[in-house]
Amino acid sequence: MNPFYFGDPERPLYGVYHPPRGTDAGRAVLLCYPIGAEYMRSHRAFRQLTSSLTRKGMHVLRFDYLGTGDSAGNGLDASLDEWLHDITLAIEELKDSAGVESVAVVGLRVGGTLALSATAARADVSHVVLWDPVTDVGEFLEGAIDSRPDDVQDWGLPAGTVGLGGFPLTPDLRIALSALQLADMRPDSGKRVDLIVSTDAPDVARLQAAWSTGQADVRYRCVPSEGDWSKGDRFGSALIPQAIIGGVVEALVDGN
Amino acid sequence: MVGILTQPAAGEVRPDAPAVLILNSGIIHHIGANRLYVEIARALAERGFSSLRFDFSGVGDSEPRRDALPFEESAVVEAREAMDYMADVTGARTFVLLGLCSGADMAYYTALEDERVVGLAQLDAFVYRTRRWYVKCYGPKLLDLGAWVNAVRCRVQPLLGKVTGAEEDGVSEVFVAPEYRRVFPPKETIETGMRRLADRGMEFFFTFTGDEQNILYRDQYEEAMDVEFGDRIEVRYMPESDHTFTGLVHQRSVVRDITAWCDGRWPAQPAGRNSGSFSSNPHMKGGSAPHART
Repeated sequence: MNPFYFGDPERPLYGVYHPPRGTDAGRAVLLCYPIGAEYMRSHRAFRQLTSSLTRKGMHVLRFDYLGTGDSAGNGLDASLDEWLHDITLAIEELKDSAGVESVAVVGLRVGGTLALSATAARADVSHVVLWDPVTDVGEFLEGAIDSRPDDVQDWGLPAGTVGLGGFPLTPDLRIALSALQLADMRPDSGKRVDLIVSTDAPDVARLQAAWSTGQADVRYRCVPSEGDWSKGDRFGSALIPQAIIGGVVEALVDGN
Repeated sequence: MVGILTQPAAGEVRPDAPAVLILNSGIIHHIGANRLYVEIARALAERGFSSLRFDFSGVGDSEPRRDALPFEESAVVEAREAMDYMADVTGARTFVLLGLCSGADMAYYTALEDERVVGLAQLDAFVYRTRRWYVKCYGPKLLDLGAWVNAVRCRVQPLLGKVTGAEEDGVSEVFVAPEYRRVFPPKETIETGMRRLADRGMEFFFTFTGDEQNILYRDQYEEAMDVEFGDRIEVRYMPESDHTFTGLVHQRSVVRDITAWCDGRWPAQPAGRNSGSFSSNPHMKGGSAPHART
């Protein structure tokens, strides 16, 4: 495991690179976190997924978007364009660290929506796994906003900033994210896309039919698992849904 | 162990100030609940204080221990190792330990063991009921059925550092978190420990939130504890805040309070003010050197 900073030195991104354990399978996987409280809940699940993937001989990079986790900036610096750019930077960093020409990308919840948005047309991303993806980010945000303080300006926050599971969501970021819909995206030909959900999700299943009219290899699978990413508690509990983590690993191994 | 060292910009360090060691709250990794620890570390750096946010073994980015040391013991050992590390890297000779909930508990236990600790900043620390607490909790509500339900809840202590219920089934044999069941020690035990720390000249900072149901008013902590804190104690009570400071305004309030406390207790030397920049670097112990390109 190698924690490091990368990207623009003025606002570096935090990443943790995990080399393969044992035989190098010559494959690399980028993990894209969800946002808000779901980021907090998923950290251990990502470590668990990372451990499983490196045992399969894969290189793994997980990283924090600008203004989240250990990366530079705060929630006020975050923007959709920056986050999509962060994913492209992380892909280049992973290719360089792993010595590979193409990578797979796993995105959990909104992380999946961001991942496909950033990589749908990239030829060097051969495989995208969308794990419990958020199909309509605007709808998700409406349900996830937990506070609407009326005195944010007294504390240096832009007017209209709301709390997203304890993280600031500025009006600009909210508008940009709300426009993200998976149905509007179209993975390019030759790409494999796995839609893996922990409870049956008709809106996600419909994507398979829509995207399969193109050249992409799109698969939908429900792996019943415990827990709900959107339902945390106030004590910072983690969610480690082992069954679906196994499903994600199987998809990546199968996508070899 | 993995941690993030946040340092003031070159030339802006307060050479005689303590460094701040920030301890995990339960299984929340080193960014802290709702990224609170990141904000605190960066605000402290702007004031000239170095800090290290690190993960205890088995938490966050740190690997599990290979021995069977109970968490209560390993956490103290690791916190002291982290202080050794900071002393080597930053030259710090004294330390402030800061933590929320179980992090507050481990800060206390470490302070008892290590005389380099000169300041203790605890968020939702061990706190004990007073007669006035009972009056405030039960007095106005004796005839209210709903209040009886709440009274029962008052007796339930939050558990942290544990993956809950069905989620625990998912904990893998390859990545297991340390378990810590938070049970308040007898008040007399904590009083004895706090007296020892106070006698050493320790500076104390406490913030309590509305989720800590053993406290109902700001002065309760000092009323409950038979300890001569003198003027070396500051207590904040934020009844409107939850335990993990989910509220954006509450986060900013606690960051402001902690930096102001450090600033006031360890004031800058006249020539040492700074302009507010900082740098962060990931650091590991017992592993390969950080791969840093920036």
